[in-house]
Amino acid sequence: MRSQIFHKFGAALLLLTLLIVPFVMSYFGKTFWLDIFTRLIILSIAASSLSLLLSVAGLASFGHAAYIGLGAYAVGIPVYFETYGGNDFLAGYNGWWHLLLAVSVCALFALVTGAISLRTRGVHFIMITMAFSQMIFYLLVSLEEFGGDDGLSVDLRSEFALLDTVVLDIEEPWIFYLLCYVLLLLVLFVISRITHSHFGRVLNAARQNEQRVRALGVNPYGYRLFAFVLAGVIAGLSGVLYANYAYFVSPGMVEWTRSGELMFMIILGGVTSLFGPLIGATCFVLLEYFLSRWTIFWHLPFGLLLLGVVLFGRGGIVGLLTRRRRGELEP
Amino acid sequence: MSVLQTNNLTKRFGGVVATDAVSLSLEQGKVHALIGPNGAGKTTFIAQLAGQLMPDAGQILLNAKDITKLSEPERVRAGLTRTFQISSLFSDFSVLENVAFSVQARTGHSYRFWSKVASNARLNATAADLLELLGLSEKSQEKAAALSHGEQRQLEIAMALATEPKVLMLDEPMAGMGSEETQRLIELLGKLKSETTLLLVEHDMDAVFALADDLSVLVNGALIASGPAAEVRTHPEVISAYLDSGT
Ligand SMILES: Nc1ncnc2c1ncn2[C@@H]1O[C@H](COP(=O)(O)OP(=O)(O)OP(=O)(O)O)[C@@H](O)[C@H]1O
Ligand SMILES: [Mg+2]
Repeated sequence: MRSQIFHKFGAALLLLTLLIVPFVMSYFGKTFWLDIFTRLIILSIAASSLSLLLSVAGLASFGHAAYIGLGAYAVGIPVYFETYGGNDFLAGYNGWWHLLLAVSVCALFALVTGAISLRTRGVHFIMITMAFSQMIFYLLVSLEEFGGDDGLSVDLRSEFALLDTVVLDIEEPWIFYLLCYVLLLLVLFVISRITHSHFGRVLNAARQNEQRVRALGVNPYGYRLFAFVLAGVIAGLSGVLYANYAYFVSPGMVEWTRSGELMFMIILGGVTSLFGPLIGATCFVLLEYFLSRWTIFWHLPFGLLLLGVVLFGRGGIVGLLTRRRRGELEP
Repeated sequence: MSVLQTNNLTKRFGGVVATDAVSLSLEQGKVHALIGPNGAGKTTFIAQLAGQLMPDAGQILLNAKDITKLSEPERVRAGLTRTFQISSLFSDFSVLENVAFSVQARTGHSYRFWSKVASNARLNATAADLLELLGLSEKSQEKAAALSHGEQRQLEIAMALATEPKVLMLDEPMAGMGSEETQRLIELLGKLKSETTLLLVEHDMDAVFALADDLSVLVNGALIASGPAAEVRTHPEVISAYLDSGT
């Protein structure tokens, strides 16, 4: 109970910090912090969507970056056509159009690859989801028109208009940040509801003991597939944001190491908590930033740290904090 | 009337014939005990009826309908449920949640994404009734993993009952229970049999003779006797085969 209150308090504090710090920093002229925090929020959305699979359903999908890439190209390609001409059907700066494209492409890709991957278990599942994301990687590399290896720059951010009036001018960095922030809250809320729903309980039960779920008359396959599609769509959404954030899309976003980083964020933050991925992404982005300023060999200490958390801090950072807290409170 | 029937059911594991052309019939509303020494193939037989293992040959009929090709969940929804010899629980769930999920599994699909399932009064009430029946009410908020071995056996049965089976297959339900728990379970199973046909695999002979209407004996995968309990228990081959193996 105490650890739960501590947990809620900590989460509220973190959310508040994320809301205030970038603006305070900008006020003092350090505008790049807004940039770092925007990236952090977008990655949190992607990591949270993966945690629905990894933490709730126990499905170690190793290809989640593919959806970020697909979502990003759903912005990059229409913007490219709008700027340079070529395909009038896809072309457009319209953000709603980008979202529609991203959601439908990601849902379709998740449905097809999930239907196949979810027939496998364990290491096979990890490998096959990774293989599918590599397919997307090589597909994007082969698209010469869209820059191949080098990717595409996105000249203008998506335009969110209603009745020809721009309702959200996301070229304005702080508006864009607030949009990402609100979307993160929304995603966390949706994931929390789903986790505690009838549906979420099936996923949870099947993670613990699939044999028994089947022996009680439920085939987890359809539920897992639905979760797989949902997680893919949310990650696609983060891809739309990422393309807008970076003014750039490239196959590099889909590299398997990116999928691995998302997993690390979840494990780093702690798999038992809704806010684990957010905490993990925060630490990940900040560590990356500070370590890379300190030494160009930052990957080494970074890797060691991750290893340490995985080996010794079961339950990730949330686990470490709540455990210590409990230790302090109980005589 | 025969509710569940097998015709020449056969299963091999490499050279081992774990189920050797077994033809067995469960009568509506009766307790059918299946006994046999360790490694006789009792669990393997149940696993084929439940659909976890596919037989190499033979047929399974539920209410005269061939279910040999049905998947495991489909069979449960058709009214055929099993329990496990080694308790198969959801260890992170509370005791109540274990049963509430089992009730949920019976009551239609779970594509419901918004309402909080933990506070679903209907699921919880049904689950609480079942826990009461198995004498686990006081433990309902504990994690399943924290239960004693005997309590886990009770929970195992509560979960199976939650599916409201027409035929319930119990794989050594009493194993590891105290004598008091065993007594209560014998009483409970006795009451159940008016609605539920039971296949009881059990080494506890007192329980078997207290409950069984019919009795089958499995040795090396093959049935050596099957019929009314009173007759089979006096069968000389049964006495020698069964007692010789030291069970
Ligand atoms: N998956 C398997 N692969 C290979 N052999 C198996 C497998 N499962 C069971 N067996 C073998 O089949 C035979 C029957 O085993 P089974 O577990 O059905 O016996 P049982 O009657 O339930 O025994 P017990 O009373 O010990 O529970 C044994 O010889 C066992 O070694
Ligand atoms: Mg057995």
